[in-house]
Amino acid sequence: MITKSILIVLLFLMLVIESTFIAYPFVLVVSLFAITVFRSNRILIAIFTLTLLLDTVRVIPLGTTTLFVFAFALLSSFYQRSLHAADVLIFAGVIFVISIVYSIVTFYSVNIFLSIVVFASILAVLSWAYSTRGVLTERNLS
Amino acid sequence: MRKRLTVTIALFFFISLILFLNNTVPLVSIVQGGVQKAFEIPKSFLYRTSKTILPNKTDEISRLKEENKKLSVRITELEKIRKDNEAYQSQFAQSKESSAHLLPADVIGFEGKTTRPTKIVVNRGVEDGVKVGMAVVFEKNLVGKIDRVGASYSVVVLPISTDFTATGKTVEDETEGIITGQNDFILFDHILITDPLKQGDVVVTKGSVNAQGIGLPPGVVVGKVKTVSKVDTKPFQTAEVESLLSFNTLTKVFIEISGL
Repeated sequence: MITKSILIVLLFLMLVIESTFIAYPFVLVVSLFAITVFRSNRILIAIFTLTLLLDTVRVIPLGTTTLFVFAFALLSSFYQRSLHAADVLIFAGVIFVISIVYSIVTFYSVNIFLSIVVFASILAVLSWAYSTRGVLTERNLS
Repeated sequence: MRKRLTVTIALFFFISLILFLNNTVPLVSIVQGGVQKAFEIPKSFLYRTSKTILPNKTDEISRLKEENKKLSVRITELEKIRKDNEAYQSQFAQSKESSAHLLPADVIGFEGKTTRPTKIVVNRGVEDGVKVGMAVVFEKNLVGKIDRVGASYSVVVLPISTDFTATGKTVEDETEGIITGQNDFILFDHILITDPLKQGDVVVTKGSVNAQGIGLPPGVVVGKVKTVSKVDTKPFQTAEVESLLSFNTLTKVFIEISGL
């Protein structure tokens, strides 16, 4: 419960950072990882609202970020249901590709160095969460 | 449980799709305008704060750059006055009073690199009469032109962006060419090899305004020629132009709204 609340606050902070300070798709990347790890209605509603807010403040067509996030969520859901397995590293690879496509579509410059730093940080946090709190085991992620 | 979540995801996906396909619906624009207005003050405050916190150049360089910018603008003005006088004297022509109106706007975001943005977001939109293609200036220097317009926000494409194209000329010899962005610098291209062009020449817009009065007005300073690339066997020469503005430190700009 607390983890999910922190995640929603973090997503809002990412929204502020992305639309003001650093032109990098933080909200998309964090949202995609959040959907992979926490599959709850509360998180989905928060992501839906925040991605619409992001599109509005970035003056890009409304629903662009939301479409990226929920298309991924839908496909990952089918993937997990059909294979009964989900590897975080595979998802990380897919999210990396999606973030690059999204950057091109929504007029961001592709910053590979920043991408590596962001993905390494997220994977480190997930690894820590898995080893200390067993967050990932809740969702049967290997 | 899992099936219910998939249904929720699918529902959100279809709502997103509907919103994406109905962007221009008035209700969506009204809601977007409200949200943009609500975010305007915090975004403007945060953007300004970030610009004051970020390490800047030394005072002396900043002062000299500022002085250089003012002098370049002054040269352009004097040159324009000289040419106008010549024209009046020889042809008794009368200049048409410009009906351009400057709308002040705050910079509240950017696209591209932090140190070298290619686009900036300003807090003016459709509600303020902003349209795609309008010129954006700062102290008679070209900031860019409007690229995308939202209800209360707009995105300005800077001359450094690859999405930017305009016709330009030098003040000194009226050498004409095409101004395009290369993401790292401004390129003054398609200049005839026989036309005079040298380092330090001031490049201004040639002017391309449509029937509605929207576009880049003539004589707005784009920058100074930094280097000239000339190969005698090629029909065109090119030049790297350096803007007199630091786009990453801009916090206030002016949109040229014609006909108001």
